[in-house]
Amino acid sequence: MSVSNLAVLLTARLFRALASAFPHEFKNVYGEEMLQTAGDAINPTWRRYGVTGLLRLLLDVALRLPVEYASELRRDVRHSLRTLAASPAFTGVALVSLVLGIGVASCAYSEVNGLLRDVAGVREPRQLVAVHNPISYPTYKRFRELDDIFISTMAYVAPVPFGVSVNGHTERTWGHIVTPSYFATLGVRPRLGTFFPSDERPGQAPNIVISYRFWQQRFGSDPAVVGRTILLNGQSCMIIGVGPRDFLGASPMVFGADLWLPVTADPRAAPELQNGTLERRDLAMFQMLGRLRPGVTSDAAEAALNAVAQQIAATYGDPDRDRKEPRVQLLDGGRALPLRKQDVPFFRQFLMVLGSLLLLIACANVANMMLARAADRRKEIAVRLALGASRARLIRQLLTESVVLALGAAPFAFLLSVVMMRRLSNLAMPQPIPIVLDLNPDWRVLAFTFTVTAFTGVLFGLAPAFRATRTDLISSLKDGAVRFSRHRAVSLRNALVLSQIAASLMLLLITGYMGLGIQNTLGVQEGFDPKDLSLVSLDPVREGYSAARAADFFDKLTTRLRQQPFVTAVCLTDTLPAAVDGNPGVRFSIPKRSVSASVSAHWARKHIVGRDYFETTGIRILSGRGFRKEDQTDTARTIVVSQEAVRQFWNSEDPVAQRIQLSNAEPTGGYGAWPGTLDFRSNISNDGESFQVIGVARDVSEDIIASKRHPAVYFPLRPADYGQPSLRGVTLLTRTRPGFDVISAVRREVQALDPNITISNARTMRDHIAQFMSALKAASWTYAFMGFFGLVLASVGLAGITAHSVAKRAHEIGVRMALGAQQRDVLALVMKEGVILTAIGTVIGLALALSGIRALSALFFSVASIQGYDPVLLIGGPCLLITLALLACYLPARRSTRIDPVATLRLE
Amino acid sequence: MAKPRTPESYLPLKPHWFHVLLSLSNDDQHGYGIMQEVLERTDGKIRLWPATLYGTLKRLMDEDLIETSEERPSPELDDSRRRYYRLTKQGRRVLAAESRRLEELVRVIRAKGGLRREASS
Repeated sequence: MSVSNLAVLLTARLFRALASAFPHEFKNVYGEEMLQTAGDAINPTWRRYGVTGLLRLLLDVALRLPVEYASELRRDVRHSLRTLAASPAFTGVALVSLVLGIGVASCAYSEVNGLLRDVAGVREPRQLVAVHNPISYPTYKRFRELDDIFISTMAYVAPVPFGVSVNGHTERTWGHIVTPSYFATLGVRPRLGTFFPSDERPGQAPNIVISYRFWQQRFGSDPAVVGRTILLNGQSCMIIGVGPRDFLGASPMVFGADLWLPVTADPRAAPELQNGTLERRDLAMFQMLGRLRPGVTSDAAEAALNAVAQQIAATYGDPDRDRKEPRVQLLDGGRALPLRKQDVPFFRQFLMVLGSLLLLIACANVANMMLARAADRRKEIAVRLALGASRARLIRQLLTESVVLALGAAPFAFLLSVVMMRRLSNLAMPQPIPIVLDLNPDWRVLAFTFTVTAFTGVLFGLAPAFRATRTDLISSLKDGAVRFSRHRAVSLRNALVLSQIAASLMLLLITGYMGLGIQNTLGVQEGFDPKDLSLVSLDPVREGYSAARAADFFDKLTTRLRQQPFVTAVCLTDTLPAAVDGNPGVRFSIPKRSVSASVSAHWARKHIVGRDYFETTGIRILSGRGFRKEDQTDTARTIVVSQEAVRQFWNSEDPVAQRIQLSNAEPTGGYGAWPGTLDFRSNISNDGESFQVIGVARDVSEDIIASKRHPAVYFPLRPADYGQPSLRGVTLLTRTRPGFDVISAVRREVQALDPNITISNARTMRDHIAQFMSALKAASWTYAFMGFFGLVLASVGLAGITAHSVAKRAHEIGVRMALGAQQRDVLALVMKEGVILTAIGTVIGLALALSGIRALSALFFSVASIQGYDPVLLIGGPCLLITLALLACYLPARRSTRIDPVATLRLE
Repeated sequence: MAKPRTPESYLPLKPHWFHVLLSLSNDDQHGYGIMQEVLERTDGKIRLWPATLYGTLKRLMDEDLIETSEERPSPELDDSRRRYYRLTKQGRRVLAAESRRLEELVRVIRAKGGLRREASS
């Protein structure tokens, strides 16, 4: 064979191979002709252009291939758009389902994405580990000696409120008190100036670093800010540096910081540094973070730290020195929300599973509707099959339709998740510290949404496409009746609808219970009177006051306010009702009583309140008295206990004048992890002290979730406490006659006493409670929305089934009507299937819901608080479902009554 | 069915489309014939390779600018396997519109003296 023959033959073969890959429709019409023309052209081309010509010929066909496929896709998309536009009801419902389904999945992903985000601006966040519970400074000093484990370590106190005065204007700003190694350990570089030198000596004139955000907002991005002096808690401090953009410290989500003060600063600059903070072993207030050496695992570091902690406990003879459990637990230090390693999968999976479930319901629903539609379209499909379209081709076209539908939903779904997440991110949190939940979707969420969409499109399109193209040509062409694999098609769809009804009823009932439980706790603020009560927070220590001067200031202020004619009661307080800025609480031990009861039974909530607190809040004193001036001295050891404490610890006998032993409780469970509950102040020594009960106060329901009542102990607020106020500062509670604006009066009086004092958190008690409950309110709305959405989806599915049933039986119905059947007989016939499905689904759904509620009751008190089975929900939920379901069956079933018997018989 | 488009809405016509329509303006042709005609008419400058040719024919058919012809040439010239194409009325209108557009273009260029200068230099 000559070279020329070989080249021509090879080209012909290659051309044939490429041509066979062309779209089916193209091949059907032009395939043979093109091959023939190419065959005729190969020889002349070879003679005229040689190898280049043959290559050109092949290149032409290879380039044409994608062009033809693109054009087919374009046609399919156009066709899909036309078909979808032709049935706006179907398209509308499908779009809404998909937008909600994909939107919810995107929300779940945004949440995971936001919660598991790395701290912004930190170098190699994966190397960082954080110690779970706060530790004391002496402990930190021992831990940081482990330099075979850590490259570097740092510790910080957070959150710390500062009164920052710039140009004579004071504002409360959150910051951290940090070791000089803070920035170096995080691997952060200053935007301007420098950070703290590592050899910073204690007691120096305080230098501070400010955040980029603070620099922008308070100094208008002044490039000459380094070296400026500002007043910090009344002390002058020099700014030595500005942090990088977006950097808000080591824990931006729960303790975001706008300024950093070194631990070496003069203790007068911050009350947190006073009273020997750096020497005391009993003050566990430092968060520790370390950067691991390469090759050192987090487990190894944890073991090493535990060994040191054990040594320390043994050295000092701590009461728990024989404890076997680990004392130190490490978290991922580089995450915006520090989580234990074992908790990360939970966060990821729980949210994603929830989101995927809703997405699956939506997909099942749209698939169902597509199946019903396939019945309507079988004639079109049969015609195309008869005309030679391949099944694969038709499936591809039907899939295009579902993907087009899904892609149409994607932008709205993403928008929905942006709106939802923005609302969630801006939700006011009940804590006194600013918690920044940055859950706003980023490009990752966008990519996720579109991936999920494409996947979804194929997912809900595939089954209907396969089923629709498996038609019996002859019968479909003849009369359009469904004779295709009837039994199986129906059972798949019925199973889908059945599971949907059951699942949505369960969802509705469970979410309804949660919602009702939350609604029940909302507004029920038993035990005190929130009407005509206002609160204002003051923190004179952060303005440079000493504790004694602050006491004098508060004395004058309360006296002046009491003189106002519309003020009925005034008090100062540290803790508030309906607030989560709690503390670990206290442990009880009552003399002459066995300590056999479990430790948790001895736990009580701790409140620190001023005199007149009970009169002002309206909490009744049931026995004994409230606090008086003589209780507010440093030596007085008096307490008021709650009714529930009396019930639990004294068997309801009157405890007034009895003495009990109290000690600090350790942070446990949620209290250790819940941000804003950290309170390292302590008014009891670690070994416990004896207190005298002077009164019994009525129980106050003050939890976010109405739960069993907690015992509570009230301590008097002493003037010394003004020097170590809580994160909120000292709160002034004022009760007025109805309709008076006391907040501006308080502003006036404070202004008159000292214009430099700033007030914060000024609001009415009602607003305070509303904010306290806002997160729960949002949750209850979300649940209600999800339940209702599921129900609507299930009804749409039912409507689809009935429509399908009508189409399927058009012929039968026509015959029956010709034979004299009444409209209602026909209705009963076509609705039977839907009604049976609804009945079975309701029973299954109820059973699942009841077991679900029982399981949840163990987890959430709110559900249990409805006493298990609320008749409104238990009867109302299924009734709502059945009504919607019957309506969903009836609407398409009505079509059956319009079938013309004459037309049917003519087809016969 | 798409609404009928005006001939002007196709302008300016893609060169391939124009050449195929032009080769069908006098006689019906089969694919290979069109290929040959275009090649000869343009002195070998424009060559419609088979895949491009049939892609173009498909588009023109879809747009109703050409159709298959039932008339066959005399039996001794006829290749029974081949399909013949001819212009539709719409195709003829589109070809005419494009020709007018090109003529107008050439007229404008001439009026500017563009071609003359090119030729003289």
